[in-house]
Amino acid sequence: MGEKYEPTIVALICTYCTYTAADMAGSMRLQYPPNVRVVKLLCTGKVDVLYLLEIFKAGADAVMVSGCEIGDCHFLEGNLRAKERVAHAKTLLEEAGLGGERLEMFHIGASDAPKWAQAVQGMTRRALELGPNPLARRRPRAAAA
Amino acid sequence: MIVAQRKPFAEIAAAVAGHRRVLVAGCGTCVAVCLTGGEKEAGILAAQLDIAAQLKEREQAFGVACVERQCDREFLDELAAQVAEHDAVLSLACGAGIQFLAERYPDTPVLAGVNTTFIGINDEVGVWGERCRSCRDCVLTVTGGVCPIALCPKGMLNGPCGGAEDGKCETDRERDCAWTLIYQRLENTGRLANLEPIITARNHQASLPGRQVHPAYERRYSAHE
Amino acid sequence: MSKFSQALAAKDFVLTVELDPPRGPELGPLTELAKELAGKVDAVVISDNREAHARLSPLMAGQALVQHAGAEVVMTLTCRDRNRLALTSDLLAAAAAGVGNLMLVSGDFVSLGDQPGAKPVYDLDSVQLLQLAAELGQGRDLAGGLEGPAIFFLGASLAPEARPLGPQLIKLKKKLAAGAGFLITKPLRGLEGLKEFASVAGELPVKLIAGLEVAAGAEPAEALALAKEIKAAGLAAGVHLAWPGEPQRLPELVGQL
Repeated sequence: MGEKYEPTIVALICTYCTYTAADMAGSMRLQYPPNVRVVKLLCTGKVDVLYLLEIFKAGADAVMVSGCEIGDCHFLEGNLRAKERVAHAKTLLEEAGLGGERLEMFHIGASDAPKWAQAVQGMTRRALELGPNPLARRRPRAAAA
Repeated sequence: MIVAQRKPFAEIAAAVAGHRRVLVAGCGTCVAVCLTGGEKEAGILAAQLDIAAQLKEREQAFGVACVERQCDREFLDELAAQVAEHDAVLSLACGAGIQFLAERYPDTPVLAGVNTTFIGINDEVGVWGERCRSCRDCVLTVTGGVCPIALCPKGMLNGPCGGAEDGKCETDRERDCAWTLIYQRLENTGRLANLEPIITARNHQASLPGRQVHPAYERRYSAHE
Repeated sequence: MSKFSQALAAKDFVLTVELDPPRGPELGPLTELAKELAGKVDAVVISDNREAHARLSPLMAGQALVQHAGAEVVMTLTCRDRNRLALTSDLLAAAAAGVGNLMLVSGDFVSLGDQPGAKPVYDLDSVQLLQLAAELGQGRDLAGGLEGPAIFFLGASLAPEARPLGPQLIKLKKKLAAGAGFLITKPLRGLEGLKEFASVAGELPVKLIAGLEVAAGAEPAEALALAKEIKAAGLAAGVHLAWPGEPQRLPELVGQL
């Protein structure tokens, strides 16, 4: 209690594009908030609505899903499916009362390190504005251990 | 298959509000195929309910189960241990499955998580269309494989009503007039003569609860009755 | 033989009007209007919950117009609101009330009305309802013998402007076979559809009356012009006029024909 709120943001990102961009952001020494926890996927087409809900249940303050630019998916349409699933998950989160704005879809190409840095900055700002995920109060974070 | 639609979340949340441990029970057949009540949907709904309960600071726990079919006794038996550990079961099966579950576990409140909508077909990915009203007196042989009971809002049996316009229905100008489809199908297959006899008033005993015994089993059941 | 069937047989051109029963229990104004129309038209057609909006029963309205306005009534009965038992009992009641003519139709679907959640009945369709009324004329209902016949002059509706025409023609044939003695078309938009229908359908065994409606808020000039053209060109055996917005102006309109 009383300690400063540092949001935890889980990013589900595609190995072919956004992960490379994130890696490059490091090489380029681009500055962005350290709040993001990256989960590398073979394709955002692997993202399931249930994953997204479970991540929030586990206490994440915000979730980013980031795949290839539209039309560039290594598996042709995995990113398009992810986009629809994220939109659906937003409505489910609205229904449940948590709100859909804690979740967002991004499309960031492999060479677009600055876009990744901006996306993390934007999402961290949003998580700060929204405040802590109320579910996190009830489940002590693993990170605190 | 039987098509169903998840009930509005607020209605489900209100229904489970009084129960501490709720088992969300999916059904792996029709409602799974129509992406409404299978294992995945049961998991998603349980997660949503869990989030909502936590936000309201309600002490509730949601378990997830899914059986092959809730309309078969042997599959329902598999749920016995899990049902025993919960205060209520929220079934995502069709109306038949929900009732059979409630019948199998009469001491546990069984709640409905879906609205059963119709017997239909998979039109395209994520889209289903009604085709059958299970009226017990099929006219599809005569009507060219297009059902006037299911597809005509008035269930007209002897031709279109006066509301048909350009092959569309008076209830919705996007909806095909079933009788135009019937006419075209029969015309294409040279069977317009099918439509000449008047179909007389139907037997509506379909409103009575149905029960049927397979002919091969008649002896077995009549011996006890 | 009803007076209306005699008029249809004897006259070159008949005139009928459509009247809606009130959306309340007061029948006075409707009766007064029917009195005003008596002698000017060959029949008054009473609608049955037109466009799926509930109104006073056409049976009670029909009885009032027969008894108190001396009107020749055609009572509309839809398949939408009654099952075969209710249809049978309302038909018997119509005969008892002195209503000699019927217009038997399927009825606009409930979703077009003001109570779209109502259960649509359609136990019978319009062909089967004609069959039922024809049976009553023989002293039987769909189950068997009655204590006496209820004899009516049976009318059916026709949609000559609906396309494709094929299904409509099949339906028409069945309606005629089921006992329809006259036809009234749905309100026509023009005359082309009717002419095309006539050329395909050929000569009909019963009289066809062209339906015309003055839309709410519109002036009657267009309907009047169509009616005059139908009469002059002999396109139909009569016209049937509806003016749901201002029925009180129907006598004036009829006077111009």
